[in-house]
Amino acid sequence: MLWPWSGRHLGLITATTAIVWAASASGGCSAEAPSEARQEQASATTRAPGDPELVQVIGRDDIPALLSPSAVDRDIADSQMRDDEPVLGVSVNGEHRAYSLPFLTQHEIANDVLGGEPIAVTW
Amino acid sequence: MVYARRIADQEMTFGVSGMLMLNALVMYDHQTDSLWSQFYGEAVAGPLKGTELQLLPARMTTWGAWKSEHPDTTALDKGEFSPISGASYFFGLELEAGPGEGLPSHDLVLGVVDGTTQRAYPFRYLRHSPIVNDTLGERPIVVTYDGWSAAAAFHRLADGKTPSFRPAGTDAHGNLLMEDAETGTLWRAMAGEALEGPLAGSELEPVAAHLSFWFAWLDHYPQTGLYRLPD
Repeated sequence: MLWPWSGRHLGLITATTAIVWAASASGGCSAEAPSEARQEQASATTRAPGDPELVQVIGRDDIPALLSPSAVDRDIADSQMRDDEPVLGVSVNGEHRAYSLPFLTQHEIANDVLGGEPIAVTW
Repeated sequence: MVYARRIADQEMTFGVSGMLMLNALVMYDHQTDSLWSQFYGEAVAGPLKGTELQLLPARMTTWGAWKSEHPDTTALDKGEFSPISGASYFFGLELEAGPGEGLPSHDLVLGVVDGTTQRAYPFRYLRHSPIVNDTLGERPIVVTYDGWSAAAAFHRLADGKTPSFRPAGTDAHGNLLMEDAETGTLWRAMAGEALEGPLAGSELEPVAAHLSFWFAWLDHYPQTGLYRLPD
């Protein structure tokens, strides 16, 4: 969920999220058009007057989505999580995986593969 | 929310755009720079505007409950991450009593969508009524709440009939159980799976449902219904 960093609910920002903000140097140097300019262009050229507003709150990729995360088996997971840790449980084609919600909050999106299918786990 | 990343023959990769729409996350894809609403699972700007992502079932639960249901499960590798002390899992927050009308904006709800009908089930009411038999649009559903951080919704259809569920305690692992009045079958309430009795082995079909703050759910679905405890 993005609640921790949107302006209406600053009270839920954790120390870690605050560090992400402070360290934000969005992207690196690039010769191509800044990616936020591309986002604004996409927004300007394809949206209609009645569409809900898009607001740039922080920099693109200031919150780093997981692009190719790894998975661990249950024993290692037990060393990483308590039993009462909130998780998102996902099953695809008979394969099961738990995604720690506190951890996922730091990244918002995990681009993963489960049961042979590419999935986006978002929070 | 969990979505399939394959659209036709293309595999998309998503990043965090840093934008908000209706107070919720807007993703971008690396392939076309289109912008996507996390809530709606739909591209809202860019070359793929209007494209919808396939929503996949996912459950909010705890590590302990999940691994007891799926002993062969893996988990996302947290690497060197360790929780910062004081980090607030907002699911554990005690909510203040709200005003008489409406709902406090930061109340947690399970938002359920079936076709063009939406309804929000506030955790503050589910706490008193953790198994709710309801009808959404024209389809009977059951909403279940484990009393803490997990809630789920399923279609009430098993063996061609519409069961009525009621609480039936918990199992040895603390997982919530329910039974149906018609056959007495015992079910795992958060998984919608029948454990013992005439319907053992049956599984209820999940209904699309999201955990959300009330204000964000209302932003996305201004016409939403709101579940209240019966008087």
